[in-house]
Amino acid sequence: MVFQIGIILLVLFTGFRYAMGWSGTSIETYCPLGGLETALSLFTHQQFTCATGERNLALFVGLLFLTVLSRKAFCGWVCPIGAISEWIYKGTKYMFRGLGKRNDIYRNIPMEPTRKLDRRLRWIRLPVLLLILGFTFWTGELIFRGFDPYYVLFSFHGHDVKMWSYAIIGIVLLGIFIFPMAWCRYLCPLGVALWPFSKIGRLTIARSVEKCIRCGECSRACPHNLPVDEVAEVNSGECTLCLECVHVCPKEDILELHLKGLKR
Amino acid sequence: MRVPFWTIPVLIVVISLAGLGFSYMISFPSITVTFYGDDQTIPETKKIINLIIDGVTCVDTALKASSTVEDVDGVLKFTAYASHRRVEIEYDPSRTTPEKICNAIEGPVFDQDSGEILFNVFRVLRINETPYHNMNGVTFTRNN
Ligand code: SF4
Ligand code: SF4
Repeated sequence: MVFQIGIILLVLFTGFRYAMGWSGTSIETYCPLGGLETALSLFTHQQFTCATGERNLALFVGLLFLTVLSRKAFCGWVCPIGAISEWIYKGTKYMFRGLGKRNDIYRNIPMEPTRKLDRRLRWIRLPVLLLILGFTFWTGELIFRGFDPYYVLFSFHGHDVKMWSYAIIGIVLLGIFIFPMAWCRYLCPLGVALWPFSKIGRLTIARSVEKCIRCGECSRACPHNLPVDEVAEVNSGECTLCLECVHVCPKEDILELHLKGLKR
Repeated sequence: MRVPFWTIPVLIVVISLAGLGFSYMISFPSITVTFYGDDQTIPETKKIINLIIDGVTCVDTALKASSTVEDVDGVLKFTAYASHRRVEIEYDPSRTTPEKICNAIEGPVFDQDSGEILFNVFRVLRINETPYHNMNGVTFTRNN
């Protein structure tokens, strides 16, 4: 949490400095998705796309290394939208738990789909990614800026941000409010691009099957609806190593962080 | 093997810093525009200036900036590194000077989309690492 707040403050500071004209470095230059968007143009034309540059590319390459080592730790620790989604998720859970005791209508908010449906819905991210990569390459412009929550929220009304951008972000935030982590799970293009690398991630949450009392708290707390209490190791490509499961586990030393491939 | 939880933030910080460090070691242009034909030879006396230009933020604005020097006699090549706001210009010193080039860049720009002539679109901040204007708008390297 402290780490996430620190990152958000840094992003706000960078966005504000750029908006005031005090610096030439926009928040876009720190977006690893920009590195992926520009990679194709760099490969075919040896030129960057639109406002992307070396920093985007280097951060994207770094992110791939990070993901192979520590799964989607970027999403759980660095991404400001991941952080905001997580806070909204926790906030709604806390708020509606109280309201749900008084009125049944609130009991099902946030609405958690079944794991099977959740897994299927996550594939929506793939056409989103392909659409963004295709159109960006085709037009040579970052034409999805106005839809990007990171850019719209932190650029201080940057270039290409229109009134409808705020309306879209409002709808996305409302979506997160009702469906847990909706942006990260079902729409984020970077999330799906990282998935194959995260799947082979070396760091993993391991559960001591002998010591576990099967209370299920870990699975209920997981923002990504992963069945932590049903597996010995969380090998999902969606685990962000946010450590929520570890924090809520009533017993110590049951959930641990393991480096796979090396013996105890 | 069990590892401490602080491994995660440490990995994030180390890899991010390595990525940022690596970004300073690589450099690719956003656009490159040449103003000489295949039949023309580049003079051996050609010179290069590096400019930091406020207003050059992407490929589109870099193309606009390149159009400002298109008609400056002696400008041979315009290469923009938009993410750094940096522009590298090759020119023939027997036909033009850095001052003329900077004046052209800071001059009016024809916007093809709107058909309007725009003013104060670009401002040269640095020329070969030296500030071009001081804070009061008085020029260090040229007479206004
Ligand atoms: S399994 Fe644990 S660490 Fe992974 S996303 Fe779920 S709560 Fe976070
Ligand atoms: S919270 Fe801890 S004790 Fe409960 S099921 Fe999960 S790992 Fe087991």
